Amino acid sequence: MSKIKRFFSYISRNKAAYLMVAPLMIGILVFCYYPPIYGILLSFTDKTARPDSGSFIGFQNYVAIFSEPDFFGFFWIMAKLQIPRLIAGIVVPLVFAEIVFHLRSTKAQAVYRMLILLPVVAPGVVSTLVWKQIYASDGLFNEILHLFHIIPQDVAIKWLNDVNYVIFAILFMGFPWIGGTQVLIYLAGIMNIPKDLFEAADLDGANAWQKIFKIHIYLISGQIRYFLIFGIIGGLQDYGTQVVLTEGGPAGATTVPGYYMFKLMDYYGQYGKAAAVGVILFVLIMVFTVISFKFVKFGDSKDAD
Amino acid sequence: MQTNINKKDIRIGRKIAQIVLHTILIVSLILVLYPLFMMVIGAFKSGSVYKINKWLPSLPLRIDNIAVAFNSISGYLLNTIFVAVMGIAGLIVISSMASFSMSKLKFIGRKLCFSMVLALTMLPGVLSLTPQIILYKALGLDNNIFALIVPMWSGGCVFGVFLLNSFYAGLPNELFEAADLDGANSFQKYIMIAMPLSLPIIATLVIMQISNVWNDFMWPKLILRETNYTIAAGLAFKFEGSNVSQTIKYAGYLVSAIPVVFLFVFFNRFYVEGLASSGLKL
Repeated sequence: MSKIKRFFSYISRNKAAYLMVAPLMIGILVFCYYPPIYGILLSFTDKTARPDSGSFIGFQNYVAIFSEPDFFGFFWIMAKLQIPRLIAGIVVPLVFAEIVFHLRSTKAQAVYRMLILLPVVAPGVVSTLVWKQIYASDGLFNEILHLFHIIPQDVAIKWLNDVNYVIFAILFMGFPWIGGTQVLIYLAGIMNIPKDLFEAADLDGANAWQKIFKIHIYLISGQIRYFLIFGIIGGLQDYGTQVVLTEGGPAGATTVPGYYMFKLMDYYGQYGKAAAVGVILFVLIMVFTVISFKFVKFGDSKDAD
Repeated sequence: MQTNINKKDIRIGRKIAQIVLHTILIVSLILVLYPLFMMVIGAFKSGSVYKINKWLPSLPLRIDNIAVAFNSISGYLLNTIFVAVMGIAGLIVISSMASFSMSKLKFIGRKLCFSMVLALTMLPGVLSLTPQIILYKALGLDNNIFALIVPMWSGGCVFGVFLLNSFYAGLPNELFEAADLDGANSFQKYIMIAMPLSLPIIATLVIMQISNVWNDFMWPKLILRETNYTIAAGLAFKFEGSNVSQTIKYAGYLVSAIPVVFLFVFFNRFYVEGLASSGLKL
């Protein structure tokens, strides 16, 4: 009895502290912790938009998904879209960060940093929709190819509606993929490198390339690893372009697992099955996360932090 | 004599290297920025001019396009502003209050609370998406604009807590001891001392959240119907399919981009800090 009393008196003595965290904790319990648990349960039911649905059906959703003839093909499409994106997303910003870093004039550096960020600032949907125009059959892309006689004048490729070109078209969007945010984070990392390290390197007669490969890459490995891990996690669940531009088409050529899930939810209202796809992707993401935290180690990241 | 020539060579070499770097940057920036430029010039063309000249600037400017486009997307803009104001106000209060409590007040369970917040950064969204739709519908938020605000008050706070917690933890305790002597309670210490000091961080958070609200189209599409859409969903799923000419569409894109671009130009410092801090958790 006295224990309970002491418990309540502790709470009431510290009630300000508890009251101040309460809104946050209640919010994340209800809206962030409950849904994933419910999602796992949901994946074993036949829940649809109908109110009388939702009875337990065991592994039937999973069986149905894995016996879907295209399901493994969705992962292949995802690999074709995400692996090049991942590599470009890590390497290209690093190149641009090095270029900006090696400029002599700090004024020019500031101007370029601002300009590099400008495309990031404009809403992503706007850029996507403008690229849709670039890829139209009378769009800029075809016109440039006509201009340089790469394709005949009477040929107009529908880049987003052609099974052979749509993957390339989506990958090419945003060329040359500078990625303002990443450039900024790399730059901050490079500029944080202590000056005496470079002085030591200068004394040893190191040239610019040696400095980049021996010092920079080593000391910003933390950033590289961050982009790699979160790039993989993000890439596995990315289907934004499909929702806005291709609707998984043409002929399913851009349907990735995430978009398959989206379609089950938004078009068919098959919530149980969609939740099962979510669980499958979740397991995959966890596997990749564990692998990358365990095995991806570039040098010692203690210095990079 | 020999060394003199060498030094000159090196200097010329360096100059050439600098020119090469500038050239690479300028060409790449032109390529990256041209689509946006194309949108801006397209927004001011008349339909007939656009038919013959799509890619280069032309006169006269059709300012009318902007007004026409604004009329058809102003509803989405109002929704977006409402969500941003309500969502961000709640998010700031909830996350700063909780961060202050977790970093400066001592109570049993504070470590647990913080780990629970932190763990959410590793929880992928795919697992929660379907059950969230059912949950929000069960709460009567189907096609209700608060379905966009509630997530900001809950999961949206995670990043805010992350930033603010480390800031408050870094404040020296002496700051609060003086207030203790004056008999201030915990809440007064938060409101009078901690909160005002964290305004720059809060500004960064506000900017990042505005751009999140402006960019999100997936959740609005899943939980709302057309009239309640925010700007990104409205553009992609309604305005884009509507029966207006491409120049009007460009004008619509332009109108929707202007507020965030202005924000970037005037609050550049906070913007940069926000983007950079998203990579802090290395």
